[in-house]
Amino acid sequence: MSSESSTATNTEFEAESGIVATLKELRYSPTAVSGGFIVAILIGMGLFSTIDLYVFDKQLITALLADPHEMDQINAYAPPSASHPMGTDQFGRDVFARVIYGSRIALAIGLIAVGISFVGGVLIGAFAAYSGGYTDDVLMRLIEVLYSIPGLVLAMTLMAIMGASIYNLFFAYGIIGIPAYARVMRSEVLSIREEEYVDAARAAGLPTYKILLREIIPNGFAAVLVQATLSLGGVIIGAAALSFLGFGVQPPTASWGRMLNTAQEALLIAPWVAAFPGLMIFLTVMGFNMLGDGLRDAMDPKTSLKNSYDEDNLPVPGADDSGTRTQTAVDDPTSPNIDLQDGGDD
Amino acid sequence: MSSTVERRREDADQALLSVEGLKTHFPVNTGVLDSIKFDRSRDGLPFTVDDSSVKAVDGVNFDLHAGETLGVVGESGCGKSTLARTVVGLEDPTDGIIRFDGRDVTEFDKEDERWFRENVQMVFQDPMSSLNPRRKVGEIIADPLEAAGRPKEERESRAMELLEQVGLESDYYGRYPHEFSGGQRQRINLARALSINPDLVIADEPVSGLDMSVQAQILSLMNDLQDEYGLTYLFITHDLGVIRNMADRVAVMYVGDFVETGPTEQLFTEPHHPYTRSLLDAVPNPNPDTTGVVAELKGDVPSPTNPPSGCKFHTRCPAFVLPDGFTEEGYAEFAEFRDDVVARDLDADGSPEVVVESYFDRNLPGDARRAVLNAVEAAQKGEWNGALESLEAHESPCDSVKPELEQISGPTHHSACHLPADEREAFEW
Repeated sequence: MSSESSTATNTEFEAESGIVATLKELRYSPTAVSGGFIVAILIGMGLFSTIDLYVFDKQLITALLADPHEMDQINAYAPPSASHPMGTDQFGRDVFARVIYGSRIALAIGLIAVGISFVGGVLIGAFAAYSGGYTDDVLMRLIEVLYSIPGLVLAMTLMAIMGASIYNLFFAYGIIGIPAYARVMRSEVLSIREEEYVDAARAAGLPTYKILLREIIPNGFAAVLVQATLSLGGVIIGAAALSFLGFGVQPPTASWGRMLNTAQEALLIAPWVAAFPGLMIFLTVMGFNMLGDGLRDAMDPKTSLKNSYDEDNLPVPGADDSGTRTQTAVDDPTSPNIDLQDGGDD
Repeated sequence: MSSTVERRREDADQALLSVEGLKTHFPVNTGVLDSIKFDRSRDGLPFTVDDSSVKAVDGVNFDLHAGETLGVVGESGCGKSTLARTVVGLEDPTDGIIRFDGRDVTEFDKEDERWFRENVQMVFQDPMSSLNPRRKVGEIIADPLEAAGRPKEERESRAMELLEQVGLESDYYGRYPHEFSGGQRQRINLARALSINPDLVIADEPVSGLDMSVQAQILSLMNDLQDEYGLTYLFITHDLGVIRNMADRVAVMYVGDFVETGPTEQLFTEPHHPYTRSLLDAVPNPNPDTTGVVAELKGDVPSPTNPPSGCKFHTRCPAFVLPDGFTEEGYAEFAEFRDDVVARDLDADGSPEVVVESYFDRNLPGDARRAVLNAVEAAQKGEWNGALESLEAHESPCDSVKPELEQISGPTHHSACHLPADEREAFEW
């Protein structure tokens, strides 16, 4: 029912540039919508498991499925059934419950590691481009040194030095991601710093950090945001890979990579133990990549995801807000297609 | 009105802004590695160092007194904007002194810098790109106040007050720049420059991005604000009509230098420098009965990287001073020969007569011909300086001696030209 209000206000947002407009345009991309749907489910699972773990002490999931950490040796490697929809692993723990709890770790790694890379990369890239000269050269060469080492190897080295823990995993993947963001941000800022409003801020006497944070970075955000969604999937895979190799999340915490690692011992007799976490990793990465692709298309000023003319979506004269229009649809049997229109848009 | 201005009114002799020998050069190649060029023909190592620079502003002097408007006009690329940006501190000067209120701007520490920013503000050219699209206009207007460390409440009320003063509404505080038209945006630009109550406002082509009727509105607004706050304007433009409306004094700029300065009316009615005259000639005349504009100026502005010798305008000057006995074409050949001597590379070999024949198709005056023959002889012996010396007597002052700004008529009308001061045609405009 919200479609009317959004079409009415659409014209106002047309002139707006940047993130808000981009997000609005995303609605017209089927890829981005399905990606967003997957990501939304994932976030739902993550939120549920976090609340369940800290507020209810695993009571909710125990009531619904089973305690993800509770061992039940008699039922080890039980195939999927009504009581265990995804079967059980070698200790008889419910795979479904563990998959749900694993989403919490996967999301946390994705968001926190990408957050670290994002903030670090944006600040370094913007500062380098704005300063120019030797500062720029030195910073970017250092960044490139970091870029030249393969990510997984660097992460393993860092984890080996700092010790295997989930916090070090955040940190390692955060550091690895910085170069990509710094380079994207730098190229954006190189053009933004020539804008007159940056000169105006300098002439007004604003200090450099305010110019960077208020004039430059917000205007270069869009491209880095795409980079962030696109790399989220990669980071989650990487973290799963590290867990699989034994460097990342330590047992008994449920993580998809660690689940895959233990499941390989019984791949033939109990393939479900490996299949479901693997499927989750696949879906997660696909969801984030689809969302990122949609974002990238929405951001491209040369293409418009929105159809220029949509016959089913013409504003109806005389019906201003959704309330009155629904009213007419119910009261007036001569206009059945208005009702159709109401539901069809969302 | 700020106290500095009042104080200066009593002490009228001191200029508010005084600029001496200001130079702003930009290196053509950034960095040491970029400036090394491969050059096969060179002896020894086949590399040369190219340390040439674009001389955007090259030795500008002027004084600006409190309450007056100095207009700077010139063609595109003559360095007007760089001059404005250097004065306001957006570019670092290569050489020269900028004094604001008697104090050297380039030696300011942080505290002085803040004081300078509170007294000098700038209005930018492009109304579309000079406002950050992501910020509310009220906050943009209050930027100079924020930089000066004023509290938030004061900034807000001042921004609303200013919005009304420049002819907008105070409710516009929370709107974004894209919601305004070009003229409204330029009003916002003005409001930003005025928010801190500066003494000096530097306006870099503030109306060139606007259409005619809006230009008039902005200009009259600027005039009103000047009367109200006793502002001093340094007004940069390429539009002679605008400058005649706004300025008390005008400076005409050509390739980084002022060529003529004077009171507006005098400069427009009795221009002395041929460049000023050519500029005034190029203004379209709205009278349909007169013939169209004849562009006296041909070609482009010479490269500021390697400006012409002597008077920078001599390559395009319609009033070029020819030495005795020379025709225009003859002197062009003479100049070409002299350039080769300067470059130490003559185009022809053989006896001096043969070389002279290859350079000159037209008859030279007798003593000039002798001088050229002597020069060729000297050059062939490798005495290039001697060759140049023997040519000197026959050079035009225009391409050999750099003219200085000299008083023409009245105490403040100056022109940098070799033409005599009284040789000045009355000008209809």
